[in-house]
Amino acid sequence: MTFDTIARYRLARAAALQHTEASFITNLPDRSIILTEIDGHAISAWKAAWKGHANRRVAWDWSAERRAWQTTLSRFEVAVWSGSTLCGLAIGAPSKGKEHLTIGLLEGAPDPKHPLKGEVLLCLIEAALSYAAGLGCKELRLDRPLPAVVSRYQRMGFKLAGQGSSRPYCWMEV
Amino acid sequence: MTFHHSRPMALITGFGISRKAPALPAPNEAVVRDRLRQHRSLFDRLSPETVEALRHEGASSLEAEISGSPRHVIPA
Repeated sequence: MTFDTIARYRLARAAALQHTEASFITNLPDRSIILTEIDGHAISAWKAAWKGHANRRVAWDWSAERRAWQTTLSRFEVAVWSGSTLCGLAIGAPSKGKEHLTIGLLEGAPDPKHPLKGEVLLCLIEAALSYAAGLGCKELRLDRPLPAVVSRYQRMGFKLAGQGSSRPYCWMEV
Repeated sequence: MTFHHSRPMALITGFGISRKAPALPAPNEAVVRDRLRQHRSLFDRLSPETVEALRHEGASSLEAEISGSPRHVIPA
């Protein structure tokens, strides 16, 4: 591990997030989207607004997840904001040979009226797709998608693989 | 069989030989930005009608914005 490696991946993430923001400004100009890494500010917002929310479908601990993934220098991570409202979080990592980038966790804000409701999934996926492209990955994968929404991912261009196994995933070409 | 490398380059399995790729170095910023310039975004891949339909569906479902299996779950 070197500072150079840490800096290179940080720059690659920043470039991918900037690219995604620019893409949204061009294609959905009516939406104001800010992308950051999952920093302390994002964790504070998660604790304040998501953790313990009655509408939350999963009880994932993003604070612990962030700590666990921090040793993976090449990790993908993004927090999606509209102003000061945290609207989405995703984290993942590329395979060692950079063949594919897998999103391990992805969650939208539990508030059904959050400002990016309907757009946050597109935003999270586009950020991951950009980072995968920047690293030279050939595939983007979604680990263990909820079966109920696989058809939605398929409409976005994903294909389902690993059916019948304990670890199904959706994938698309980068 | 004994591997003398800390990172085996090939693993012989009952189904044949699979090669485990070594970790690649981190790309430099110029390479990343060049790749991003050539990148096809979701908006390039999907029709405006599909994007609109996905936005509409996502607006009415909480499950649509969840994927994955975490290492850490908040205790009840």
